[in-house]
Amino acid sequence: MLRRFWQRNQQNGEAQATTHDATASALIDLRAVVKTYATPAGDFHALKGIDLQINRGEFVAVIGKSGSGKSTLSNMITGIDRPSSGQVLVAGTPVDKLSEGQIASWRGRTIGVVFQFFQLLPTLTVLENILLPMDFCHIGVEKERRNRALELLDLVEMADHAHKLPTALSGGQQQRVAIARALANDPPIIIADEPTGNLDSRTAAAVFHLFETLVDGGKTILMVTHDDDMAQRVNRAVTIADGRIAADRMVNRHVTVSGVHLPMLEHAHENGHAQGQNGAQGRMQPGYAGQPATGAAYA
Amino acid sequence: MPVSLPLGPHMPSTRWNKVVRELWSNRARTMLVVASIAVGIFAVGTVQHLRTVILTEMQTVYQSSDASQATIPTDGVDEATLNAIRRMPEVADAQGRATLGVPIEVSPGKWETLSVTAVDDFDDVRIGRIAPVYAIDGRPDVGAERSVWPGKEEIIIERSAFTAVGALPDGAQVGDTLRVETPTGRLRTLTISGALYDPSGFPAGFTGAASGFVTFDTLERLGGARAYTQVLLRVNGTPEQQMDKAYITAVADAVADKIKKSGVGVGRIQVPEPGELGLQSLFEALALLLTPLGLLALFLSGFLVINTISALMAQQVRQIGVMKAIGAQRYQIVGMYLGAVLLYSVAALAAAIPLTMLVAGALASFLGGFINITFPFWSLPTNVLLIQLGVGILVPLLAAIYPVLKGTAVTVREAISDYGTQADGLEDGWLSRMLASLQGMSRPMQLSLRNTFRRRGRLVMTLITLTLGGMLFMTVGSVRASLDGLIETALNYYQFDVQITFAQPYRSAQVEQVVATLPEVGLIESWGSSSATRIRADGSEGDLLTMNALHANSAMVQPTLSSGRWLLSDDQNAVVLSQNVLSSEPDIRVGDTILLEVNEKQSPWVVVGIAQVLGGPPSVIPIYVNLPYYARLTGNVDRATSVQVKLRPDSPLTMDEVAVKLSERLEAAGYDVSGSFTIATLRRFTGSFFDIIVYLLLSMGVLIASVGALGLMGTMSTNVLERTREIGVMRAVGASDWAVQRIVIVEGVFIGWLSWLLGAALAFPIGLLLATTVGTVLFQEPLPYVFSSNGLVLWFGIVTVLATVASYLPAWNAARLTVREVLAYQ
Repeated sequence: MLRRFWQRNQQNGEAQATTHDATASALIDLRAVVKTYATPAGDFHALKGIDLQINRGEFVAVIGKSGSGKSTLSNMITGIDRPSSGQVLVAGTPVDKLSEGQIASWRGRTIGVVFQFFQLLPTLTVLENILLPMDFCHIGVEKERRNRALELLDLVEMADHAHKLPTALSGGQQQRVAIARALANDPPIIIADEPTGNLDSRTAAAVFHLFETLVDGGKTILMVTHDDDMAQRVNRAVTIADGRIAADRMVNRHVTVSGVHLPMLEHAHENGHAQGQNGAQGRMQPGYAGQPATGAAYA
Repeated sequence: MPVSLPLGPHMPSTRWNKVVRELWSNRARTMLVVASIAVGIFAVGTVQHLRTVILTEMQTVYQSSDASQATIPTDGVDEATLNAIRRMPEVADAQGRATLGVPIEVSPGKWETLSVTAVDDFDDVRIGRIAPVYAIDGRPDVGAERSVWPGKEEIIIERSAFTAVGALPDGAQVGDTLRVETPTGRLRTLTISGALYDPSGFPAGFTGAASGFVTFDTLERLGGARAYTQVLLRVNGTPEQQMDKAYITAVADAVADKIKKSGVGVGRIQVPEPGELGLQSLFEALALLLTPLGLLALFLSGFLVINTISALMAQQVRQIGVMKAIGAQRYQIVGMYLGAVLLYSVAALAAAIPLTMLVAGALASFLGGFINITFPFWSLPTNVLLIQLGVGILVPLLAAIYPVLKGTAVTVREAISDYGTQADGLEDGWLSRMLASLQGMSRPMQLSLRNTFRRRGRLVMTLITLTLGGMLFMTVGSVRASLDGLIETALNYYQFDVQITFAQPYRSAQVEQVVATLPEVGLIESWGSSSATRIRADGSEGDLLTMNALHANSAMVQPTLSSGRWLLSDDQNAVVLSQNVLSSEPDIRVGDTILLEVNEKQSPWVVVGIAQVLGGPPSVIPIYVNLPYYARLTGNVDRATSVQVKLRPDSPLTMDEVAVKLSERLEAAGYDVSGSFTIATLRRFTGSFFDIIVYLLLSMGVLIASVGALGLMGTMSTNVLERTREIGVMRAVGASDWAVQRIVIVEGVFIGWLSWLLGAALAFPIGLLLATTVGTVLFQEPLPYVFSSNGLVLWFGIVTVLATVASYLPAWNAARLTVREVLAYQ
């Protein structure tokens, strides 16, 4: 039963991926994205024309100081916020064109969101918190959902805590559950906003290891962080400063895409500011952008 | 603390698990919302329940009693005449009875009136049925279980007398012996054979007099005659005619003619409102009055739901954002919260429906005691159930729709970046500046005052419920005072204490001579009196009126006029109508000339005034004319049909005792007394009825005030919850338990006082409106408005206590918060 469940969702994902491949080369594609907030002190430009493409299977860290625009960038991808101008394509879907209702449903199936403060619903048990996204997105029947939720809890090593309420867990444990919840609908993309920001270094390392495992399993992860050390351990680090991409570099690391371990090349890309002033900051170099989007192509 | 609720597999889906879990984990809030909804369902249900049960049961009692449609007092009809009446085609049935009022000793030396009725065959009472009862509400110890029809020198007492104060000797029981006095002054004893139920008669609680049934043999021993002094009629006719008072009156007139032709005198015919028991129309009017109050309670309960759900949604902002972030669409979240409201409704219905049955049952029993009807205690009329279900489900859903839609409209970004509402309402407005400028006030006190105005929308909602509740409570005091004023006005209207009426006119001087023989009598005045009927322009007849003819400067009335003027000594065909006439003849205005039929002659009369007359003998609608003109018109110069008596201030006898003694003396002197009436009876009658009105209004006032208190408690709880962080900060900088509690309680009491101030400002005009409505609905006249400041003082005390109590629990919760908990609070 569980196998069929996984297969069915895998097939759905592949069908989506096929569609994406036909329309876009990158899984996440931000084109000239500008975000301006009106404040009593005048307009605040959080993002100033971001171009960013992220391929399937990448583990990308978005780093920057507080107020640099990194969270706004992740919000553009998740559809939590909308660009003032520019285009956001995620898995081939123009996110900025969807209505609020469409975004919620789309996000539930396409993106798993992990928050800094975990944001588990306090009145639901750990297990129920993971069941909830499947419930909202009508994925599987009750028994399948439970099996999947238990499997995910097993994956994050929290199966023993399935029937506890979140308040009974430590911060690290809550974040593991939050990650399991993000995976509940088997989305191809995980967006994590400061996922380790509220954790001690040991727990943060464990959570990070969990992300590595997921990337090894084929997920695409974008992690917002202000921790430079953490950013060294991903395979791509995008630095945001003052609403622009200040740097976009590849980090030498072995990653596994669709179960195949591949060596990644160090690909430093320190041209953000210079190009940004020309309105093309952060755009991938042709060689990088032209890399195949799927694991199969990597292979 | 983890909760131990059944987990997923038992529930339809996880999101409903969340809904149920939220309700359970916030039990105090859940109870508050459930109570808010329940109180509205309860208010509407109770009013509807009372209305349905009382009116339905009154109808049932009326139908089953085969009440007399017309009662003709006679000098004594025999069986042959009665048979002749029964043979009249328009008469369905006729039965004869004999009645006699005798003094009964209720305590040594203290005598009251006992109304005794004799019938031929207790098993064949077909009109105005009576039935023995074997238990009496509120008096289980009277031995009613031994009730049997009376034999010789026995009496079966109407059950209401056992519970009426002073109508029977204290503690009277079945088997006891009563001491009564015959009209000739002989003492007789009667043994109580049991208790019976006579739905047609006025209960002893109203009249103050016990009544009972005896055989004709016993009646003769008491000095009564073996003849029917009352003829009870049921008429033949179409269903429409059965409900047509004019038709019934016409039939009764025809019967009276037949009786007169047999040489027997006839008194004033009584035709009650067809198809209903006495007081039924008053209860209908009361129900009409209570309905808007019930709806007001429902409306306010809707306010509470809006307030509480708004607060709930504000607290849930982040969770809503998270749910949206993990894939929930807005309609799903809306469904969850409306589902929660539905669960609140179900719980509220589960609480309100049995409570309605209990309270409405108790209220109906209480009211039933006044009017001598036993209402079913536990009942749930289908229409009441349907109304409660409809109101209980729809009103909360409708009330919740706006806050739920507003709350779920929050975007994920707004929700995730929501760090609480601590700064809400603290913008630099005039109010903030004014509060900040208050001098000489402690810092915590200033904080309480500023907190009051932080959530202004919520404050307004809370103030509306508490103000309206308090306002109604305060206005009930004014209505009560106005009703008391009306009683005094009514009693003041009649300056006499006792009125004796005769079956025919007698020489005034001779009558007054007999009356004056009683040493307790002070002033005496003779009036003429006739039945009169208005002949309308289309030839139809109006209600039966009682024309009282008196001198314009009579010392026995002090009229209160709502329009026009009183009679002048040189008035000829001038008439002053009581306002009761206008309920059936609404077209009449002062200055109009109307046609009245008096003693079978029609004559024009000029309406010079409308008098505010309350009470008086039952089913009498009085009009007043000048005695000299009336005497000439009717040919009864110097003759009286009634004598009015004012007792000496030092009279040792009560009015009722004097009425009994005067009737006896006059009858002994050969005068045909047809009835007596005392102001004491009027006072009892109106007082009892007004008590019903005041108790009902007061219970609605208490209900609405409790809605206000619930609202305040909800507001204070929500305020505390929202300010958890700042309470923690206050504790961190040294605030003691009491300091934290005081800030919350002072805020609550301040809101309470604010509502009192607003309510007090509204109490005068709204009280006037309520008094006008009560007066118009019940007496066709606005009540003479008396504003009661007692209500203001009382409510100030109550609202202070309520506000303190309502704030105490949230304050206690606030003081329990530790700094650690607050810092962990998300």
